[in-house]
Amino acid sequence: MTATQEQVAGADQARVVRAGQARVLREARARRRVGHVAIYVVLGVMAALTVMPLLYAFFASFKPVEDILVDGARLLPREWTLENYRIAWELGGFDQYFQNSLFVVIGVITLDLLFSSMLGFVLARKLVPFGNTIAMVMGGSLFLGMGTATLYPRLVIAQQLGIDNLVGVVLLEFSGMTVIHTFLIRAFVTTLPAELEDAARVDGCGIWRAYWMIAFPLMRPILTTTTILAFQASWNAFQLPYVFTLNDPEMRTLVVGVYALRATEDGSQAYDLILAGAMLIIVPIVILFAFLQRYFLRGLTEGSVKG
Amino acid sequence: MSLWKRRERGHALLFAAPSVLLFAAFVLLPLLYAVYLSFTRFNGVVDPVWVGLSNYESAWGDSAWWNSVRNTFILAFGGMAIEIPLSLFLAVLLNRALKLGGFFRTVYFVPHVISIAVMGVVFYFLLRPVDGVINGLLSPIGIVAADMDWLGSRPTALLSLILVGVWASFGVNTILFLVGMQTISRDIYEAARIDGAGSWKMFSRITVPLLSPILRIVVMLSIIFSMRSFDLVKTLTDGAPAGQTEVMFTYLFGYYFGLDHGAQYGYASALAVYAAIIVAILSVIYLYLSRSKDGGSR
Repeated sequence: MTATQEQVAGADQARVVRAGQARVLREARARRRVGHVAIYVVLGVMAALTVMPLLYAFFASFKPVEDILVDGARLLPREWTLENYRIAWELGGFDQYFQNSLFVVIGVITLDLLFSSMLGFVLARKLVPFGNTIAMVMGGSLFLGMGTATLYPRLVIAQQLGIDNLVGVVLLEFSGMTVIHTFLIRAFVTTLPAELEDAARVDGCGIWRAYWMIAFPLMRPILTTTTILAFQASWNAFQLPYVFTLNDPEMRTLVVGVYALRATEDGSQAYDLILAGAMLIIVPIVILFAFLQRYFLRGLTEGSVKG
Repeated sequence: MSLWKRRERGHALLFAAPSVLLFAAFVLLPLLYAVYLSFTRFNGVVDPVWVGLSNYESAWGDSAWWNSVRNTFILAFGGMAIEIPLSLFLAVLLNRALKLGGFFRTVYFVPHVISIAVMGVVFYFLLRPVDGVINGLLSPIGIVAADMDWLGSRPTALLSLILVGVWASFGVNTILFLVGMQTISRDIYEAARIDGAGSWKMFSRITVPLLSPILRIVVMLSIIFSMRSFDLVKTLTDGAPAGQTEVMFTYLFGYYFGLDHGAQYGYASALAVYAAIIVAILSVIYLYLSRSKDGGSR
C-alpha cells in the first residue's frame, strides 16, 4: 500500500467509525426521547389526578342545582349559572362568613408580623433574660401535639376572658403559630449584623427604634415567608373556628360554613351551596399561590426542615 | 454581643411579652388544665370532682378508643406506604431537568395550599355513591360498581381517607425530596455512569443513601402529622360508618363537644393525655433519628 492508499483507507475507516458513532448517538437520543415521553406520561397522569377533583368541583359549582346531582362523570356544565353563588352569598350567609374569614386572616397576620418578629428579634440579640429557656419551652410544646386535646381548656380560658368570639379565634390561631414563626425569624436575625443597631444606639436610638427602623425592614425576606404561612394557616383553619362558633352561626368562617352544610342532621346536603362556598375558599388562595409560588415553596422548605 | 444597657434591656421584656404571654395563656396553661381535668369527673356545670386514675382505667378498657388508635396508625402508615415511594419516584423523574419540570412541581404543590377540611367536604361530594363523580368516572372502566359506597364500610372508608391524604400531601414530599436530590452533585452520577452503573443502581446506591437525612425527616414528619389528623376525618367520614373510622382526635373530640356523649371533659382529657403520650413517643423517636444523622440538617 502506498502512503496515499493508506491515507484513503484511514479516512474511510474514520468515516465508518464516525458513521457508527453517529448511529449510536442517534439511537441514544431516540431512546432518550422515548424515555422522555414515558416520563411525561407519568408526570402528566399524576398532574391530571391532582387537578381533577378540583376541576370537577369547580365546574360543578356553575351547574344548575338539579344537574349537580346527576351524571357525575360530566365535567362541564350543560348550562352555566351563577345562581349557586348568588344564593350562597345572599341567603346562605356566606357574605358574613367571608367577612369573618377576612377579619381572622387580617388579625392573625397583623399580630404575627409584629409580635413574632419582636420576640424573634430580642431572642436573636439575646436581650431578654432566660431567652434560651423561653425558646426551649416553646420548642418543646411543638412536640406534644396537643392541639385538639387542649381545645376545651382554651375555649374555657377564652370564655373567662370574654373573648370566645372572633377576637379569640385570632389570638388563639396566632398563639398556635407564633412558636415556629419566632424560631424562623430568630434564625434569620442572627444572620444580620448587629453593628447597625449598635451604631443607632450610640446615636441615641432606643430599642424600639432600632427594631422598627433598622431590623424590621431587613427582616423582609423572612417576614414574607411567615406572613404567607400565617395567611395559609388562618384562611384554611377549621378546628378552632369550628369550636368557637358552635353556638353562634353568625361568627362562622368560610371553612366552618361549608362544613356546617355537610353536617346537617337529616343528611340533606345542599351541594349547590357547598360547592360555591368551597370555591370561595379555594379559588382565592390558588390564585394567590399562582402569583407567589416562590414564597409558598420557601415557606414549606424552611418551615419543615428547620422547624 | 450588642451594647444595650440594662435599663434598655428592660424595654426588651416588653418586646417579648405579647408572644410569650399569649403562648403561656393559650398553649401552656391549657395543657396543664387538660392534665388536671384528666384526673376529675367534670361536665362543665358542676365543679370538677377528683377521681384519681379512674378515667385512665376506663380508657384502658374502652375498645372504641383503641379502635380509634388502631385507625390512626392504619391511616398514618398506610398513607406513608403509598406516599413515600410515589414521591421518591416522581422526584427522581423531576430531577432530570425537564423543560416542564417547574410546571409539574407547581401543580403537585397545589393541594397543599388548600384547606384540607374543605377538601374533605369536596371529596365527600365527589365520592357520592349514586351519580357521583368518582363512581361516574371509574365504573365505566369496570374498576368499581356503579353504586360503590366508598364511605359506607370501614375498609373502603379508611382507603378513601388514605387516598385523599395522599392526594393532599404527595406533592409536598415530592418537592422536599427534589430539594434534597438537587444538593447531590452530578459528578457522582457521572462517575457511576462511567463505571457502568444503571439507573436503578444509581438510585439505590447513590440517591437513597445521600437522601437519607431528608428521607428520615419526611417520614417522621408525615407520621407525626397524620397521628394528629383531625380535619380530614371530621369532614370526610366524620367517623362513619357508625364510628368505625374515628381516629384518636376525632374520638376524644366527641367526648368534649359531641352530641352523643359530649361534655365528659375529664374522660376526654384522659384520652387526650394518652394521645399526647403516643404522639410524644413517636416524636422522641423522630428527635433521636434527626440527631443521630451527622450534620445532615442545615
